[in-house]
Amino acid sequence: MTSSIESADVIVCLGAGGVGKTTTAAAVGVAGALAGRRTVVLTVDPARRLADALGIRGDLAGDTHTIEGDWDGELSVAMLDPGATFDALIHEHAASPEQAERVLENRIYKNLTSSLGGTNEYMAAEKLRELHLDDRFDLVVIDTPPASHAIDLLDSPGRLTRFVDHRLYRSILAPKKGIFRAVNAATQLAVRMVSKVVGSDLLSDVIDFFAAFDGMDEGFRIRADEVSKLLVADSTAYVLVTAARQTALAESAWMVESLAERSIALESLVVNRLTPDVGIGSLDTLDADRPALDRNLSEMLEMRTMEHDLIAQFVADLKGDPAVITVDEQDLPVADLAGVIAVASVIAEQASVIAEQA
Amino acid sequence: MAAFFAASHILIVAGKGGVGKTTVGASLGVASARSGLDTLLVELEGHSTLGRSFGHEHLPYEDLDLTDDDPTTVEAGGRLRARRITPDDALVDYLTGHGLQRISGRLTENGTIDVVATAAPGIRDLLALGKIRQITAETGAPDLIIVDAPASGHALTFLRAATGLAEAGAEGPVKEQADLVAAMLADERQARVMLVTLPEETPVSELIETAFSLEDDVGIALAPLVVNSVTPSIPGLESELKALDKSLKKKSPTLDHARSRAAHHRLRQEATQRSEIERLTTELPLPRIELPRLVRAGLGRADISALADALQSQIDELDARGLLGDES
Repeated sequence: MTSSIESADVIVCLGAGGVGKTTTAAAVGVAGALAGRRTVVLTVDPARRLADALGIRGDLAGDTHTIEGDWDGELSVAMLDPGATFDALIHEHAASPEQAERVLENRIYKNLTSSLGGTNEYMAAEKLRELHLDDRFDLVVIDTPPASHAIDLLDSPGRLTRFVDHRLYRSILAPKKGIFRAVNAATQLAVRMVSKVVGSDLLSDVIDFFAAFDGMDEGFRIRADEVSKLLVADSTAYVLVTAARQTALAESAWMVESLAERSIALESLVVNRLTPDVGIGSLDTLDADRPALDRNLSEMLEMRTMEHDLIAQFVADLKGDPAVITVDEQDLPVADLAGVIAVASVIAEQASVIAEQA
Repeated sequence: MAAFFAASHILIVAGKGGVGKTTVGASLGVASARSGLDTLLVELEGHSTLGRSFGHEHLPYEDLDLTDDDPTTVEAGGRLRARRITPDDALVDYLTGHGLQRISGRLTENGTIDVVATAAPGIRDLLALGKIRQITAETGAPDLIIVDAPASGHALTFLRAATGLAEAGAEGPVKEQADLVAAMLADERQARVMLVTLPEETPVSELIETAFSLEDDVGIALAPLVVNSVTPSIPGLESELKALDKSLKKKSPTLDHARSRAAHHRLRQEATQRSEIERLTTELPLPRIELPRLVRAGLGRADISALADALQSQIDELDARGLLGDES
């Protein structure tokens, strides 16, 4: 983690829902700024109080916003606006403003961000590339979308390309180009079958969309390749955020596997929200005069022990050797910059201990 | 008890990722079966851990009977089954049922359905919901189907599929199916949504937004809310802490400092949770079920059984207070 905070171009924070992923991403960003880097944190859907703390408001979506603080580097945050990012992509790739308008006005296009699985993830990756190329920043920390399919981020460029590239549509569009007048019988049959199931209006909307999109697919494909390369580059580090709960760990195990399938090593594991350390490891006898205090204390100790066992088991099963960083649950939810900075110092401190040992 | 579960044929359990939605769904299933009902638990595609609650890595597409695993269910004459429903399987079922079996293989094989599903938002979700509707209409249909819905952002998309498709200009079989599903969702004797949250800021805010969208856009009835993993209070903790803190000095034994720290942590956590629950109640005045945080929270049968007991007593309490309406 120390090395990635100091030298990575991109840090991707992955994690299941409800494990404090956004807070961790913000803390990693603070750690970057403290290490002297010009850092930007791209967040997707921050909790309201955290957003307020970082100065991000809904109407600022898409812009970057600088946060002043006592650090040698710089810290900015940006909130993803998938729709605006997609619109900008269309404008960039369209041959003319008229073509862009035709696509933007199409009913299928308007639904695409919600209907095409992975579109939001792709827009996050696209925005990530934009910030990465931005001269103002040398480290981009991305908080992945809050779906259980956070791993979709990796596959999303390919998915969008496959969609705009599907051979069914290529064959539907072909006759309009006037080159392949002889539409083969199988395609005609496929079109008839589809229209039988979904109706012809919907189908003609789809055809209009692809007709409007025609010619832009090549630009999209090239861009998607660039985005994919950035995501698997050596200078991109992956941090898995999790909590010491069976459900979260089960989902995390699946994410690690998915990363491994794509030959991506996990750089660090951040386990959040551990039952805090109260200064002792075990309680031998309960004080009969303080039944409530000792019941609470023994429960907390039991929970903490169980959580450490779960983490140990999880780490033992992991392939690879990520740095394991644990963050105790804060008494109060992290709701201001000071809270984020506190988490950042916990992460930075453990990371440097691990780096020294290595 | 049985009256609560029999109030609708379908109970869709929804909530943000990480709130324990699947665990709550599984516990509801057990509680319903123990009340004597024939209950079917359904997981949709994805990485659901529903099967794991019952010791199975994955659920099959056909019913898996779990009745005999639980003596209380057998005694009560109830039944518990679990299965998975995927849009692809549901599509084949659907096309076959409409005399279109010849094209079903082709559509799934050449990826056509993927592209259509992408272009016509909600087709996959509609197919899954249509399949659930079909199960309720079959002979030997279960008394209650409990659906482990996708995580909440997607849950809305999932439930909006039917109205969305009708508006998108679908015709033919899809339109028919969309109308049937929309009617099913709008009928509270047919379907209700049970929203699950944690007593924390983000999940509570998301639940409130989801609840309003569900009522406005889908018109589906809401069952009582479930607040999961609430830290139970320990009677006397506050006064014992006060006495301890009064005598606490720097030189006091480590153990006393630990006692104090631990108690402060719990009390602050409880206070934060209370204020979130209060916000939830103010903004969304619906009956509420609170499930306790279990010290050894896991995914196993024993945990599900313990939560089913907690659910049962909370539902009985709501019923006794007359908060469950005229469902009996």
